[in-house]
Amino acid sequence: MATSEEYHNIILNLFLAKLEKDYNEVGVNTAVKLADNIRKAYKVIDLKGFTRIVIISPLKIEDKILDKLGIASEEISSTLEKLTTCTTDQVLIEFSLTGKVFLSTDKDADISGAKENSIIYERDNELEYFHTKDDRDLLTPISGVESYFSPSTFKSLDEALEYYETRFARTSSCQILQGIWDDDNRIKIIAGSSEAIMRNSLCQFLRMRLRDSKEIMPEQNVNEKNPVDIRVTWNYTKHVALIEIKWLGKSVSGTSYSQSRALEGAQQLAEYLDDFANQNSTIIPKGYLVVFDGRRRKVDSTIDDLTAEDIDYYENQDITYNPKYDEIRTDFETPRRFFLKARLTD
Amino acid sequence: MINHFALFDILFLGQKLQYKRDDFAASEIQLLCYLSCLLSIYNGKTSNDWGYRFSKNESGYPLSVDINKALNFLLKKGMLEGDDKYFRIVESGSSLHTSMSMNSQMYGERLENLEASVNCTSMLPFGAIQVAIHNDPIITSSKSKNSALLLAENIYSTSILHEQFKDLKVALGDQYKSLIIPAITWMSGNLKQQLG
Repeated sequence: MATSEEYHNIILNLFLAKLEKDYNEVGVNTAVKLADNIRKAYKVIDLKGFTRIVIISPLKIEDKILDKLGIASEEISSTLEKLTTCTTDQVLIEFSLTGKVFLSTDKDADISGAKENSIIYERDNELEYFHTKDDRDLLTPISGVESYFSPSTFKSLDEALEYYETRFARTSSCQILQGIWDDDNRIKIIAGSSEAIMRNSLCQFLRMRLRDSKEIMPEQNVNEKNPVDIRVTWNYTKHVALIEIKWLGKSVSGTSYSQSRALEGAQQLAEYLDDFANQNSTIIPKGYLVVFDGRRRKVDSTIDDLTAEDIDYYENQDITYNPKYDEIRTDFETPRRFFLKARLTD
Repeated sequence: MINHFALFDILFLGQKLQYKRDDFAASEIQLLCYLSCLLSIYNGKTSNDWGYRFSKNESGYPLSVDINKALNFLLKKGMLEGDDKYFRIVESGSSLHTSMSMNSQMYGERLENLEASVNCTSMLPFGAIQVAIHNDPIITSSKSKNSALLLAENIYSTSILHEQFKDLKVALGDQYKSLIIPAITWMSGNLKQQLG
């Protein structure tokens, strides 16, 4: 339970509190409307294509901020279609209170003059800020989301896992997942707790993004041997997903896991599903094997001796399972392999 | 018998949620109704004043039977549409909400709480709100207790909530009018992590 002092510290850093101090309640209300518009914009653009996005909303209905600042802009449709064809990596968008939307691609636009009359949100190299009158206030990043205003939430676990693979696992862009690497080039895995880090990363992502889930719990006992890595339950249904995580690759301590580790994971998951079904006749389990694949060819070479072919060697080398549980049982989903890409330069 | 407060809250929150994120699930409405009720308690009301009660589901999380009954009523009357998990309010539901809203004496006081809770979904990922509420000491402490009710005035966990809100008010002082500020501060406190 937080103490009064802890609450005090939270408030000191809370951007909405700063906005109310600077602009009164109208500042907070404008920020809420702006947030809905940011989410609308993020539905149509790929955040990875932009290094800097500034989104502004005036405090007064009659104001048009970009005009006031002399920044060239064009009015665009409120469907924001135009954003999908933007060729620059920096955009400035104004959502007026009358519903009109203006777009500027002026890279040198100075927005400091807008602080008196508007609420300004800025995304700068993956960090997010709201501007106050004197400063710009960093939003403390939340693991599992690219932005506070990410529109992508998922109604199915399959969709969520697919997104996690491409946006988070592939480039280890999840803050938590970055912790599995011993080196910046992502060649070898740390000694020890890497599987727990992978579990925490996926667990946090699912908690943030999977809709209508009742509980997403790490390390849930299914039998007396080992706990399954993640258990997902949903509201108003009898379905439960059991997710088993395994990793492939080499750690700095010398532990090395190849394809056989994934096969062990499949067998382990099949046993969990059998045990679970025996203990819970009314609940319908579905098993998911997730393999984080960090294998590299010539893994013990120095980074200077590794080539692009070496680090990507296993990218398209799928695992052959025997038995193929997903073909012989209805409660076993097709195993997923998340290839974790390395990089040759820092 | 359908609880008219539950009906009003679903229609209010549902319309806002579908504007913000296309549709809504029953569990999302349940969570925001609970948060709204907490905010009314922060504003000095008791849980009895809220108009319907919350109990624990099998996982110990808040659930209102009245909300579920009202949702089923709206579905039967064709005021909600959707598959069995995600819903949208249709025109007849919006009309019912408009006519209920005219009775400001009955529903006016709860609007501020409902508005603040649904505005939290604009400022934070929904998952963060869910985890923050599930991490609330009342929920965690009540999980191990036999009492089925949440927020009842005579139970220990509610007295913890009052203590929390007292500390929160001390920290906030009289500086802020927007209810979303204590809401997000309280959630950050539950997560032991700054949100925003």
